Amino acid sequence: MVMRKAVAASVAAAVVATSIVSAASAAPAAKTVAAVQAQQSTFTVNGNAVAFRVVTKNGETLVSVRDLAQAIGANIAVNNGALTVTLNGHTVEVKLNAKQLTADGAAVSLKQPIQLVNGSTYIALRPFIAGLGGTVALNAGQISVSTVQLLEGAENPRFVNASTLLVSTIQEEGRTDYLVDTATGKSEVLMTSTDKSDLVVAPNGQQAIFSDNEGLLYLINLSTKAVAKLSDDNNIKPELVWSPDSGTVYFLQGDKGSVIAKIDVTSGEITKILEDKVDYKSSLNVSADGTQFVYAVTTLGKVTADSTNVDEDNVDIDFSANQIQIFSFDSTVKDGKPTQLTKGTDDKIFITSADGKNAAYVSVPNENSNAVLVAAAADGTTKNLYGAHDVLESVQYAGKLYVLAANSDTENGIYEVTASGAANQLYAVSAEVSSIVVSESGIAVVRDGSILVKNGNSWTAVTK
Amino acid sequence: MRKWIKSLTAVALAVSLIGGATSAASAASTLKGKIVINGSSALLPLTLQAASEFKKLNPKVKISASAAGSITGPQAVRKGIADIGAVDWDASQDVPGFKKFDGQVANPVAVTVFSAIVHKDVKVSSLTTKQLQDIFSGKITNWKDVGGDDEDIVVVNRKFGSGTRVNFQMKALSGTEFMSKGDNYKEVGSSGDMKTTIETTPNSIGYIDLPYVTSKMKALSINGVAPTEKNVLNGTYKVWGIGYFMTKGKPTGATKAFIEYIQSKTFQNGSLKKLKFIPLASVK
Repeated sequence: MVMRKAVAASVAAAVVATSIVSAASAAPAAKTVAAVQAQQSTFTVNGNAVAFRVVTKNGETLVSVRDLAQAIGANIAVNNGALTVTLNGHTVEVKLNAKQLTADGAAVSLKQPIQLVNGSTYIALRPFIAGLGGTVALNAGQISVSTVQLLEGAENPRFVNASTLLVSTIQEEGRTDYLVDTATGKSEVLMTSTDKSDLVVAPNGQQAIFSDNEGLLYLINLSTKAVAKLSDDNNIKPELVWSPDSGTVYFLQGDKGSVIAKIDVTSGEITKILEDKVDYKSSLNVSADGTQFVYAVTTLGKVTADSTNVDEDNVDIDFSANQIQIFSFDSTVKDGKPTQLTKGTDDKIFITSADGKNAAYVSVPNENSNAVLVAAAADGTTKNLYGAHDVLESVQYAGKLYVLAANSDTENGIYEVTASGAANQLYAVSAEVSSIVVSESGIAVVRDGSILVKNGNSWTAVTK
Repeated sequence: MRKWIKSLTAVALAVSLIGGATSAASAASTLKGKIVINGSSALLPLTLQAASEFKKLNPKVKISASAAGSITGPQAVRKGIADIGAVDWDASQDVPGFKKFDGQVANPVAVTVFSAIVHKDVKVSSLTTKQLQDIFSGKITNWKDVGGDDEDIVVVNRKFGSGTRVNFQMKALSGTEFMSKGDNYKEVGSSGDMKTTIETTPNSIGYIDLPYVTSKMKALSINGVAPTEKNVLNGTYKVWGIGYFMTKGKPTGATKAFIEYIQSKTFQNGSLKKLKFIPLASVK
C-alpha cells in the first residue's frame, strides 16, 4: 500500500511535468480551464465510500484520474505525454486536452476534453471506468463504481447470509465453489473438488454439508474454509436437508433413496427415521421440530418381458403405474405409516412443505397446459393456489410460497402466494429469469446464466 | 413472433449443450414433449435423478421410466414403445448372447462399475479370475476350496438379458459360461432382487453394480484389486462398462435435450458421482 502511494506520487509529478509541456503547446485550452475549481465528492467504489476530487465542466462532472486509479487499484504509466492506465487486462490511454480516450486500442469520444486543473488530470467517469472493464451505476442517488471481475458462468446460488452467496462453477473435471459478496460481486474460492456433492448451507450460515463419491459426509466451515469428516457411513445419500436450528441434517439414504435418516452434526450419530422399503423417495422436507416429513415417491411403469427369443421383442410397458405422489410421515407415532397426500397422475415438481404435514407443488397436467401451484393438505384434499400465469418455479421460505411465473413472452413475475391463494407480485423481471432463491438473507435470481441479487431497489449482477 | 423467438431459444440451448459448455443455469425453457425410457435397472437410479433435475429446467417435458433388464431397452425402442433404451452395453454392436440392434444409436451416459459380492458372513474377501470362473460355472462348489469355511456355495445369477450379466461374463469371467441349474443355483430378475437375495442368503455369491453394494454384503476384490472408482481410474480394476441410452436413429427434440443433459458436465460432475457412477470423461 505504501508502495502504491509512492508510485502514485511520482505519477502525479510526471503528470505535472507532462502537462506543462502540453499546456505550452495548447495554450488556449489551458486558459479556459484556469477558472475551474476542484471539489470533493463521494462515490461508492466496489462497495466502499471513497472521496474524489471532481470538477464540473459544461454541466458534466469530471473526476481526478489519479484518485480514480488509486481507488480501483489500477496501474498508471506515463508514455510520451500520455497516461496509460491498466486494470484487469484492460488498458485506457489518456492524453491531456484530447476529446477522446483509447480503450484497449479503440478510440472512445468524450463530450468534454480531458482537463488539467491544479496539476491534476480530470476525465469523465463513465467512459474511463467502462474502458477498464468496470461499470458505473446510480444506486439510491449515489454514484456506484464497480471494477470487480465478476465470476462467469456460475450457477446454483445459495445464501450464506445477507452479504454472501455461495455459487459454483462446473469444469470438465470437477467443481469450484465460491463465496460471492452480494453488494459487489467480489468472489473468493471456498473449495475446489472433483468428487464432492453440492454444498448444502446450514440455515445459520456457519457451515455447509456435502458427501463424497463414496457416500461419506463432510462439513466445511464457511469462515475458516476448514473441512472435517462427519461420518464414515458409505451409503449413497441423494438428498441432504438441514434442520432450522442447524444442529441436524436429514437425508435420504441408498441409491434409490429408500430410507429417511438423520445425522447429528455434533456427534455424527446416524438414526434411521423411516425404512418402509418404498424406493425412489425424493424432495425431502422436514418440519421445524424434525418430527414431520413430506416427500415424493416415484413409482415406475410395469414391464412384462420374455427374453427367450430376443428377436420377437416380447416386451410391453404399462405406464399407468408410473406416477409421482406426495406422502407425509409423522415420526412421533409408534410404528406409524406414511400418509398419501396426492392421487392425481399429473407431474409434480418443486415439492415443498413448511410443517411436514401439508405440501405445495407445481402441477404439470400435460405439455400444453399451464403449470399450476397446488396445495395438498394433510387430509388429502388439493387446492389450486396460483395459476394465473404458467408457473416456472416455486420455492418455500419461512412458511411462505414464492412463485416465478411467465407473465408474458417478455416478462416473468415473482409472486408471494398465501395459503389461501392470494398472490402478490413482488417483482416484475425479465423473461430470461429462470430461477429464484429466497431466504431470510434476501432474494436472488438467475437470469440468462448470470446471478443477480436484490439490493434496495435494484438488481445487482454478482456473476456474469 | 415472440413465441417463435422463445422456441428458438430452446433450440439454441439444446444445440449449445452438445459442446457440454452450457451451464444448468440457462434461461427458462419452453421445450415440450414426452420421453419414455425403459431397460437397465442398474442405470435406473441415474435416469430418475437426471429426469428429476431435467424436469425442473423443462417442466413441460414428461418423462416416464421403467426397468426390466438391459435387453428390454433396445427391444422396446425397436418395438416403438420407448424413446430411450437404457442398456449396460453398446447394443449397436454384437455382444455375447445378443446380436446388434440395427438402426439404433448408442448414446453413452455413464461408466458403471460391477462387483462380485458375497453374503456378509462369507470369510473370503478376494478371488482370482480362475476361481470366479470355476465358482460361476459350478466346478468349485464349497467355500473351503477358495479359503473359506466348509459350506456349500450358493451361486446367484442374473437372468439372461441382464446387462450386468453381460458385463460380468465378459469382464470378470473372461467370457466363460455360467452354470444354469442345481440346488445351489438361483436366478434373479433385477439388481434389486440380487441385492436382497445376497443380503438374506448365507454362503451366497453374486454380482451387482457398485451403487447397489450395501453394508449388508461384501464386495470382493478380484485378483487382489478392490472394486473402487479409484482402481477403475488407475486402470487396475477391469470389471466396468459404459451404460448407453439407445435411440432409433439420432435423438431429436426433448429426447435429444435429455440425453445432452445427462451427458453435460453439470450432471456428470454432480449427481452422477453422488450416485457412485463414474463420469464418461474419466475413462476416455
